[in-house]
Amino acid sequence: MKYSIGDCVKNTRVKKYSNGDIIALGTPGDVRKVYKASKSYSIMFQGAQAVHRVLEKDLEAC
Amino acid sequence: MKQLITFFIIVISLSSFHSCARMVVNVSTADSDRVQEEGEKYIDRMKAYAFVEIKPLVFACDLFDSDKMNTYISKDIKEGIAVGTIASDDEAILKTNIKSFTDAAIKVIQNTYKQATALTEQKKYSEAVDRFWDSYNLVEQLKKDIKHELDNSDAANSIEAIECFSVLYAEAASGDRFNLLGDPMVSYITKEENLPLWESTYNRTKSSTFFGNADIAVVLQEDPESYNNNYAIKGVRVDADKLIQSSFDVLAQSINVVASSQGIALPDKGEQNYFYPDVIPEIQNLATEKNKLADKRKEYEAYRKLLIVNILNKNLDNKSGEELKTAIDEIKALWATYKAKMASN
Repeated sequence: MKYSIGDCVKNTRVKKYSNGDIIALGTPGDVRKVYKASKSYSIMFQGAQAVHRVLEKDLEAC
Repeated sequence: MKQLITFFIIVISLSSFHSCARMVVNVSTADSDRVQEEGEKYIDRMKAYAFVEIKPLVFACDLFDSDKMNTYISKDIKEGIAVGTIASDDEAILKTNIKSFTDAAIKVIQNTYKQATALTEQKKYSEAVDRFWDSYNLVEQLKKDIKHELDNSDAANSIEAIECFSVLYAEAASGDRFNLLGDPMVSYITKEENLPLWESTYNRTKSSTFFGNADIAVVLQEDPESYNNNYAIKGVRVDADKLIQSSFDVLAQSINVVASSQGIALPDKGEQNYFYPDVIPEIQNLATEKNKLADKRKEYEAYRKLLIVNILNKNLDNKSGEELKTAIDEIKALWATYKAKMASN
């Protein structure tokens, strides 16, 4: 896995979540949890209402 | 066989002659270390077969049905989307990735279980049990991984499917206690070649009876909850931790057996807590009564001699008619007097 808990990452794809949060391209956030099996992360993006699950391929380092 | 502490054997030998029987009860203890060592082999064998026995049930769990597991994982992901932690766009790829590692883990679990079954068939019970436990640990790991991937509380559907394996396995691993006939250790400890196991005599009780033959019945309690620690000798309940007391009870019991052979009523043996049987007073005082009888015999011999001397003095051969009749009446009267004296003592 590329990132660890606490790392700063940026969104590379616009994401719309069911709670109404829309994460714009390049929004920074910090890694809260790592999911090895599904190659994904739980991220708290700036300005978001809750943490969101994002695939590793849709993230880049800050 | 956790409670395998000590086994007991009761050897009874009876020898009877005339109206007297002699009973010897030996209580011996088995070498518990050796029994324990052998017991562990039996336990491995028992457990291995128990795991083989549940194999069809285990493999029928939804965990091993790829389509069903797929459905459960999808449901769990949808719940993640519903609470806003997962973007709906990511559903498909998350599903694919989680399913992929779950499928791989399930194949390893299946193979491990099959290997363990094969080892059981090869009678390599200890290795088999280790492999069965490997499969159990792999399932537990899969459960943790899926829980983690699906954010713990959201993994309810997948986890429930996996629990099927855990529950069946735990049940087989715990095993029920053997009943007496199903306990392989009974066969082991009673085989002739294993007689050296019984290397120490815990207690020896001897008892003599005065009437008829003596008999004894040893009953192992069949209740699986208690038989390991209890056995009964003609209704005398004995706990393993009260062995010292039991040696005395055995003696008392032998007296009861004699009493019953003479038709004397015994206390109710149907009573479960019939621990100390009442001893019939006539039997309890048998030694004293025996001495009294010996004294009476001596007294009888003395009066008998006196009577014979008296008869000889009467010179009956030289008497006839009225004189003879009078002499016989006097002898009868004397015998009546002696009898009265013997009865009054």
